[in-house]
Amino acid sequence: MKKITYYPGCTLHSTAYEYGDSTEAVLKYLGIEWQEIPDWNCCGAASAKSLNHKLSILLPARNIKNASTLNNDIYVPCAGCYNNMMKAKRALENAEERQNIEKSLGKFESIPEVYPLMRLFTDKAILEKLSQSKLKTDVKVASYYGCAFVRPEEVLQNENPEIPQSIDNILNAVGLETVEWPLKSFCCGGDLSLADSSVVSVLVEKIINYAKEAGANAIVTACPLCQANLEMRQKEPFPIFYFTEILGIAMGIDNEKWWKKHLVDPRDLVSKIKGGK
Amino acid sequence: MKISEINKHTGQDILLCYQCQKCTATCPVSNFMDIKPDVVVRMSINGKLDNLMRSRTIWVCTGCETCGSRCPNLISVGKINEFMRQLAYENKISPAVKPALDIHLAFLNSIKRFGIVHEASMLAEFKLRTKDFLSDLKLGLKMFLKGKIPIKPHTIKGINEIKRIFEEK
Repeated sequence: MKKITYYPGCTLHSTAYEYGDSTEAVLKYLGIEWQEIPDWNCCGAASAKSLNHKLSILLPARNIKNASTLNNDIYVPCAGCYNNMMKAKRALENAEERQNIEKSLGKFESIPEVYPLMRLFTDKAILEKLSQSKLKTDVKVASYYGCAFVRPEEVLQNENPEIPQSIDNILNAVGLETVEWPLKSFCCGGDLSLADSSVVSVLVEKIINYAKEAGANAIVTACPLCQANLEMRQKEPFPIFYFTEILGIAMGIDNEKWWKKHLVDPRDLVSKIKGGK
Repeated sequence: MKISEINKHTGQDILLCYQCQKCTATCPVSNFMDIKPDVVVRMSINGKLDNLMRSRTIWVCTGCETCGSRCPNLISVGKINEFMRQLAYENKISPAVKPALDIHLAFLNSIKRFGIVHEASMLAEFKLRTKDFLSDLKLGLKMFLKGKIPIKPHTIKGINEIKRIFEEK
């Protein structure tokens, strides 16, 4: 049985409850055992790096240190958390910076690998397992990655920032068609959502219009900030899902309480994805 | 500040810029900036840091890194903007987009208090700082009613370690 270390971050217990709950349901179904990082803290999101560089490294570094006792790879569902944790990991890989970090946090025994949650599901064996649960629907969706899972490329070395594929591959495995569209990693302005919503509304409108034009009935994302922002700042109701919710539907383990958490009610489309008319 | 210092802090060589303006063309929010991304690079080279620290640009930049990933010389304007924000805050320069600083301060205070973010009290502090109590009120209420904003805060066990990190920074 595969074992992972899991860093939910603040949102998966609050504003992105449905992401957290669907992730855990899917992990359970697949028989993947997870352990949260012991006594984890907030990674600082966009705020620490905006005001103080050292703080933006030390906060996620403490999580890496606490995770290192578990001896498993860390999987991170939130794009912002993943991005910040990778920056701290790169700092730890530099001897001089590591010394400075250890001055503050004490010695690191080891430095675990850090992956975005999607990476867990694009593993060949898991993709094969996923493809045993096939959706029969003509609903099409636009996969949306946002910024922080793919850029900066040299730090993350995750996937191609211009044409990321992981979410598409996961959704296609369970039989959901994804459209080709150009804004997969276009910024939604999430970090500005509360500070200047006038900027953000323009970005969100552009993203949703492009998705519709490409023939999508919904957007599927993996980032809690993108999901909340796309729901909050849109004009006409357009459902925004987490990819783990779609996996839940395919496996037949979806839960009514996920849909109730959405600001834009996706239930009509959920029944279409399940094969209804 | 010397160019070499900006290079060191941002991990790149800004002197490689040949003003192709791809950064400005590709930036999703350049329409909302008072100093366009290519000019940010030019001004950093020319030492006009004071203008940058007082600009709207550094607070409107979302740090999406599209500029950096598409620049033919691997220069990220986002990294310069981030560094300028840090400098502006350190030098107590009043921000051109005050709510952007307000949300960061409210957010960091929440981490300092609990170790993780407690949205309800963080949003209350943000509202007190901006003194704008009306915008997004309906949205906030809707999220609260959906149980997306927990009432009770949770404090991590290692909170003293977090407090020490904040003191050391």
